[in-house]
This record gives sequence, structure tokens and C-alpha cells, in this order.
Amino acid sequence: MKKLVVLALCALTALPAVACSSTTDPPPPTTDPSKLAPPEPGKGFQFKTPSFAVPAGIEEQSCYFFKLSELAQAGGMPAGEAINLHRVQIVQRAGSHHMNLFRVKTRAGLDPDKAKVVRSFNGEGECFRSTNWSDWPLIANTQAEGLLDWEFPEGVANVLQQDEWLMLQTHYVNASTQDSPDGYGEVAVNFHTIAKDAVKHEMGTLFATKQSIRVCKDNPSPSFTGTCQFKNDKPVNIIGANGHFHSRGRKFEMFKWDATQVGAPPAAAKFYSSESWDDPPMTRSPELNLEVPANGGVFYSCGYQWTPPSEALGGCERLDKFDRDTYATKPESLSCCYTFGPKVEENEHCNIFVYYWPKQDDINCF
Amino acid sequence: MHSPRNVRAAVVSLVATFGACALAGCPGTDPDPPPDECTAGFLGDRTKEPVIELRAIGVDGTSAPISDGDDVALILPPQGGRVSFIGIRATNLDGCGLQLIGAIRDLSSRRVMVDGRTLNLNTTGDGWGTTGTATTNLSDVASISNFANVPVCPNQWADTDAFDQPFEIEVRVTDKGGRAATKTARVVPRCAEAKNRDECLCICKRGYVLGQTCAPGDGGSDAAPPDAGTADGAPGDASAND
Repeated sequence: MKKLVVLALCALTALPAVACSSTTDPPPPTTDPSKLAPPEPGKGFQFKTPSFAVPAGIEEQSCYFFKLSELAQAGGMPAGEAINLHRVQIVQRAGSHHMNLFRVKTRAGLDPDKAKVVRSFNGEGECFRSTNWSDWPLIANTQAEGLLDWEFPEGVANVLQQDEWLMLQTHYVNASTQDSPDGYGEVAVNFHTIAKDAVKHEMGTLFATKQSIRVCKDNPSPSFTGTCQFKNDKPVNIIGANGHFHSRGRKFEMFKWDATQVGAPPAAAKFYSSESWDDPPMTRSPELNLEVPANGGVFYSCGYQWTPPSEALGGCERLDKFDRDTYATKPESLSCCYTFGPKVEENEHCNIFVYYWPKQDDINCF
Repeated sequence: MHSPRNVRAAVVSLVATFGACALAGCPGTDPDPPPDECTAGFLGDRTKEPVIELRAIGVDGTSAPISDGDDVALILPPQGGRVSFIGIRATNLDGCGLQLIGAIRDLSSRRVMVDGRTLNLNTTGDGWGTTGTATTNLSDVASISNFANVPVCPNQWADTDAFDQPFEIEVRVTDKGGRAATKTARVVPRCAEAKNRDECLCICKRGYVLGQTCAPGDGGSDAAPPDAGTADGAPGDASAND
């Protein structure tokens, strides 16, 4: 998309700082979920959501459950054997706010034995309720439309068992801060596997969310910092990272951390930075292969700038109502705050997704 | 997650502003920031070093001073897990846009868990200011957001149980002018909420594994809840993630 901007500028202006090339690029990768070719039989499998309408003014976050044994069988893989995920391909139709893949653990408001699809709208419903997946380890995520195609380093695999359930969570927005240009959402995922004897290192994931955030008119430029530890007595290698915040987000940073410092690590330890809330980079191998010392972890920071909410959407009154209704905020504490919550238009986030090896435990930090 | 519609709009905007940019420089991404509505201002004496005292919220919502040897409550916050809410009383610094970092340190491994945030102090009329107020509604996120939400559990980090053992609390503050202060205290975290005590003992136990089922008594302790307040303080639902 950025290329489109550059080409348009080249055509319409004589902007000297923009290099205009006539070279022919290779064909673009698949951006249509319906056209993603599945892995070869016996070497992986594909699963996907149906195509669903996202009308104007709608935010839909839906949870789709898949039994790994059924996916493996459909992919021609041996029954009962571990799934050694080594390469993941995710294709999303334009308009996606995010998609996350989790392993199902403790079941509360979401239970695949009761419903394999749970669709939720405009911040309401079980698929918007984070307590429902608070101990579900992350498998993969992307915030970009089009294709994520990531092959892990040689010998690295996320090892899954066939008796597990997966939850694919997709969030589409067709509103003012983001839109869904097709008016439809759709996600397709390929899992490519390697044989058991090719697995040298198991991959683990780290997910951290800072939910006690407030971006308020009376404290308009806040930043929030947090930490999360691998608790591994040997060094670990970070091979993937991305951060997630909404449109008030200005700077997202992650640092390698020795887990003993209280303040921010030095700039040289920074391995992730994003100033683009709606197109955050996914830093990953082979470019990212960062060794973290034994018992170390990640230090992260989210910086925000308060901006007046759209009057057309209800302005401060709407933000204050959410704050009051959701968080029992007292009248004297209301300050037109963007608080943690699901709706892109009126809520904020500060989440990190980190992929590493060798796996210790799956790690969630609150 | 740029859509073609957004990109087309961006192109038009870029082209339209190109001439002006060339002459006067391109604008930044943000308009002028709105005026700061914080009223705390500078607290105390600008000629003196900042002074801070540590405070923590108990399960009854009361903010109280903490010092060496005190208990601190492990509380179920809206975001899940268990945290200690750590704040300050402070003077000789700017009370607006103060950066507060709170940490809990495992005395064995020296490792810490950290929470940092920008906040405004509430003035008390005597040259001092405090994070939050004397009494905090634990289900009121606006109130607890004025304290460092120091994450203690799930305990995937400490070499010991994260309750009934001594730990160190460390707080660092820096105001917008760069005035800074640090204070530490040795404390004992306690699973002090009666209603949620079993889960607290389970997820705060050394070696807790994410997703592990917590049954009553899994914490391995049947001691009565310590005296760290009486109210239950169970928050409402954590709202939503996306």
C-alpha cells in the first residue's frame, strides 16, 4: 500500500526525495484468502473462516474453533502424532484489525464443545471478553492485511498435540478509524509441518497485555511500561515480535531485558519499534534473531497522545459513558479517557506478541 | 491494515499538501496537542530534592504507607492475575505527567516485575501530592490506574512462592523536568482476598504453569488469610481484549 502512495506521488509530482523506479516487481503474494493453496498432503493442512459481511459501522470479533485431529486428518497426516508447526501462512481480506490463533486451555465463556463459532459485534459478546482466553497460549498472530508467510528457523517448530483445540480469533472493523473496503472479512491459514526427527528446538510464545491503561484529557501524553520474563536458565532466542495499540498510539517499543533492571534498558537493547498503529511491523526471522540472556525477558513501552474523540460518534460523553459503565469510574475521575477495551474507535490497547525458542513455558503477563 | 480507500485519501492529501510542504515544511502527524488540564502543578520547594513515601492499597481499598516489614496485598485486578497496587506521597516535584515505575524484586534471584505509567498527583494542600486518594474503589479502574499495577502472579518468574515470603518493592519517579527519586521497602505479599484466596495461592505458587488447573487447596497452604484488610474487592469482568 505504501508503494501505491509512492507511485502516485511519482506520477503526479516531481517530489525529489522519492525515488521513482520503472523496474518490474515480482507478482504480488496471494492477498485473497480464497486463493491460498493448501500445503501438500501429508505436510500440513489449511483451515479458514467463511467469508462474512462487515457492514459500515460494524466491528465484528469472532472466534472459530478447530480440532487439530480433524485438521490433521483432512491434511492427510498420521493420526495421533504431534503437529510440528514450522511455517505459517495467514491471508486476510482487507479491513482486518487483527487475527490471533490460540491453543484452548481453561474454558469459561468460550467452549468449543458448546459452540464452534462465536460471533460478537461492537464490543459485546463472549469473543470480546479477554478473560475467556486469559491462559490460552498464543500460536500466531498478524495485524496486516494480505499474506503473512513465516518459516521459522531451521529445526524450530511449535509442537501441538492432536487432541487440542485451536481458536482463530478475527477482528474486522468497518468504521471511521479503519474500514473494510470489500465489506467482507475472511481469513485462511496454512500450517506447514516438519517431521519429528527434524525438530531441534521447540518454539514458545509470550503474550503480554497492559489493561490498566488510560489516555485522558487531563493526562494527555501518557506512556505505560511493562515486563515479561522467559524464566529460562539458558539464553533464549527471540525470532518474532509485534505490538498492538489503537489510533492514539504514537510509539511502541520492545527491549531485550535482563529482568533485574527497573528502568528502561538502553537504546541498544531495542529490538522492536512501531509508530504506525494501523500498520504495525511484524519483526521476525531471519531479520530478527536476538539472543536474550538466561532468565531475561522483554521490557516494553506504549506511548499515546490523547486526541478529541469524534463528535459524530458521541464525543467525550460516549467515552465517559463507557468508562462509567465498564469500569465503575466515579464522576470526579471522568476525563474523556480512552480506556482498555475492544472497540477501535473508543478504546486503547497495549499488547505484545513475542515468539522465541527454546520453549520454557508458555508465558502470559498481565 | 491500510485499506485502498484510506490509501487513496492519503495520496490525495499528500499531493494537495506537497506544494505547501515544499515551501513551509511538512506538518507533523499530530495537530497541536490539547492544553494540559492537570491542576496539580509544582508541589513543594523547587530548591530541594524530591521526597517520596511509598504507599499500597489494601483489600479494603485503603491506601496506606508501607515500610520495611509490612504486608502488601495481592489483589485480583480487572486484567486478571494478581497485582500489588503501589503508589507514593511526594513533594518537591511537578505533580503533572509524573512517570511512576513500581517493581517487586525476588530477593533470591534479584529479578523484578515492573509496571510503569504516567499519572497526575492529587494535591493535599500541604505541598505534597499522592497517587490516588485515601480510599480506592478496587473495581474503579480510574482509581487503581493511579497506582503502579505491579504484576506478581501468575508466578512464572520468582524462585519462591510469591506470597508469605519477603520481597522488595522499588519505586522510581521522574517528573517532566527530570527530577527523580527512588525508594525501596522490604515487604511480604499476602493472598489477602478471602474470596479469591485459593486461586491466588495456586497462581502465585512457585513453578505455576500457565493453563494449570487450580483446585481448592492447590496453593499448598491452609493458613488463615493474614490481616491485610477485610473487604473482598473482587472486580467486575475484565471487559474485552481484541
